[in-house]
Amino acid sequence: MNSTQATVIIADADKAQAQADLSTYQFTTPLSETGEAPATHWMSSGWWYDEELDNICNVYTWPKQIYFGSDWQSAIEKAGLMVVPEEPVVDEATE
Amino acid sequence: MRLGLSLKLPGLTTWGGYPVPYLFQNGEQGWWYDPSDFSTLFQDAAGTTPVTAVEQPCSLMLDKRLGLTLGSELIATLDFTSGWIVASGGTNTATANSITTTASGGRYANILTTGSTYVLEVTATVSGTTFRASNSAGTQTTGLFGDAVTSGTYRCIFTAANASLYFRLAGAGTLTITSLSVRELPGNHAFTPAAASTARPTVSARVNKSVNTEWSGAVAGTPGTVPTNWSFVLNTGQISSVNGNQLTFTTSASRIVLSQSVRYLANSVNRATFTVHANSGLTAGQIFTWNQIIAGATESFFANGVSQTAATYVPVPGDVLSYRLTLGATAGSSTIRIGNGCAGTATGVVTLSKPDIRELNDGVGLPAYQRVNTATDYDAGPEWPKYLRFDQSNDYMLTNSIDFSGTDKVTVAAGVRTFGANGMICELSTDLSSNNGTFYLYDNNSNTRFDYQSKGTVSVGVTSSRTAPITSILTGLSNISGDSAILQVNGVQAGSSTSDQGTGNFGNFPVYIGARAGTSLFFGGRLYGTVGRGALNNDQQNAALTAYLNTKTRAF
Repeated sequence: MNSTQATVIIADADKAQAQADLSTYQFTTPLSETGEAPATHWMSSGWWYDEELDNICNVYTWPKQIYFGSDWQSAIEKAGLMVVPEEPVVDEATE
Repeated sequence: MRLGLSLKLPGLTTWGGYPVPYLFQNGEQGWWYDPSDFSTLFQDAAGTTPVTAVEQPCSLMLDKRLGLTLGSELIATLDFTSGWIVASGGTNTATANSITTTASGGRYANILTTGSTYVLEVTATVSGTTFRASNSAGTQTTGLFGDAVTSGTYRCIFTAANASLYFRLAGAGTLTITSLSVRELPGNHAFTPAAASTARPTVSARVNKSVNTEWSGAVAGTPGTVPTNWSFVLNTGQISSVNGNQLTFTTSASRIVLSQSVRYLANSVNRATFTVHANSGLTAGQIFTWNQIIAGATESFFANGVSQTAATYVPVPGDVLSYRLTLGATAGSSTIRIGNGCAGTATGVVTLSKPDIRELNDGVGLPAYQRVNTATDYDAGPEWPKYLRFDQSNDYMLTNSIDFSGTDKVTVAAGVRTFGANGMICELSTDLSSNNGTFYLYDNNSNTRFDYQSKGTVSVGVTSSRTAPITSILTGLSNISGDSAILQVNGVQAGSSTSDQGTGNFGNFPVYIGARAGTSLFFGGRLYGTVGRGALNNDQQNAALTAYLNTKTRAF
C-alpha cells in the first residue's frame, strides 16, 4: 500500500463528518487564525494511504485544503492558520 | 565512545558487542527499539511492507529485546481434514491442503494466545473467488493481509485478539494452501493503529536542510539554467561551468546569484557551509550571504572554522566558508544566497560546491557534508544516524500492555533530538496522572527542561534544564520502594529525588511513544533508539547503555 505525505485542513464544522468518513484518529490538531482557542479548523498531517487521499480528493464532499509534502508548518502558514497550543496537562509534582 | 566487540562489563557473564541483550538475560520485562535496523521496521502495522529506505513511514517497530527469534510452528502439519473447524453457513469439502466451499471457510481454533504477536506466512491458490485470513470471527472482519486476496504468497505480523486463525472465502470456490507458517514473534513491539495512517513517524537520516546540493538541472550559459530547487535572484552574469558537483559563476560588472529558502527552528544555531574551488579575488560577502533574516536572528561568518569579516575576507581554493545563523525565540524561513555578486555588481570567477545547511549541534562527529539530491535521495550510509522523525502534529506509536507488575524498579533510556515543543517521549499508560505504577520521559518545553516522572501511588519528578534544539541521551531510573527517581542526561546525573513514591509495583500498561495516549502532547523531534527495562541498571550497565545509545544518536 503506497503512501503520500500531505497536510489536509478542514473547517471545524466539517470535522464530525470527516472523522466519520476516515477515522477519529484524523483531524485532531486544532487550528485557528490567531492560534488561540476555540479551534476553527483541524489538521491531519503525515503519511496518507493513497486510497485515503483519492477519497479525500474525489469522494468526500466536505471542503478541504490539501498541501503535499511533509512541511505542515508551511501548509498552515499558506492557509493563514496557526496551531492552537495544547495545555501541557502533565503531573507537575516535580522538584 | 564506540563500543568494541571485546568490552566486558562487571556482572555480565558474556559480551557480544552490545549491552542491550544482556540487560534482559534474567527475563526482565521491557523493550529495545532500534530505528537504524531496517529489518525491524515496517511501513504498515501489519508488517506486510518493510521499510527499505529513509523517508518512508514507520508503523511497526519490532522489539529486539528477545532477539526476534521466532517460536515453533503452531500448525506443524497442514491438514484441513483434521484440526480444522468448518464455519457454519456453507458447504465445505476438504483435502489435506485445500478447502472447497460454497461461501464460507473455517478456522484453526485455540492455537494463538491473545495479546501475543505472530508471523503468518501463507502461499495459496484460490479459484472462483477471493479469500482472507483473519484473527476474528465474522465473515467481514478485516483481513490480515487484505480483504479480497487472490493467489500468491503473503506475510504479515499481527497481535492476536482471538485464539483462532481463520481462512474465509468470499464466495463459492476452492482455496489451496501450499505453505502455511504461524509462529510467535516474542516481544513488546511498537505500532500505530492501522486506521491512523498519518500517525506514522518517518524514518530519516537527514541532517542537511538544503536540497539539490549537487546542482542537478543546472546548465552553463548566460545566465544558464538554474539548478532544480534553486532560484535565480540575480542573473545578469553567467553560470559558466557545471562540472560534477562544482558550479562556476562568472561576472563582468554583473551579478549571478542563486537562492534557496530553508526553515529554521526557534533558538537554533544553524551553519551553512560551501567549499571554494576557485576564486579570482572576490570577497566572501560577494559569494555567500543570508537574506530575509528572521526577526531576532543574528549572523556570523567563518572561514575554515575561524571567525572572519565576510566583506573583506578573500577565500582561496580549498576554503570551507561557513555562515552561522543564530535564531532567537522566533522560528521561520530564511534564504541562503550563493554565487557571484551577492553584495553588489562584481567582476570575477568563483567555483563552489557542497552546500550544507544544518543545525550546528546536530550530531557529533558527522561528516561535514551530506549530499541531498531530493527529499528522498540523500546520503544515508552508516555514518549518518537513523532516526524516527515525530512531526509534533499527530505522530506516535504504542505497544500492547507491557507487564511491569513484577517489579517496582525500571530503567528507561532514549536517544532523542528535540525540536522545542511540549511533547511526550514515552509514557507507561495513557496518563501517569490517573494511573498508579507508571513513568514518563517528557520534553517540557514550557519550562525548557526534560522531565522524568516516576509513580507508585505518589508521583515524583526530576528535571534537567535544556535549550532546544538539542540531542541527548535521557535515562530515567526508578525505585518505588527505595524512594529513588533519577534522571541522567548523556550518562551524567542531572536530577534526583528521594521523595516517597508511595507503594506498589509498576503496572501492566501500554507504552506510548511520541504522545500521551495517542491523543495529545505530540513530540516534535527525533528518536534514535530507546530501551526500557523492568529493573534498575547499575552504574556499569548505565554506562554501557548510554554508550550504546550514543553510537546511534551521536549526542556527545
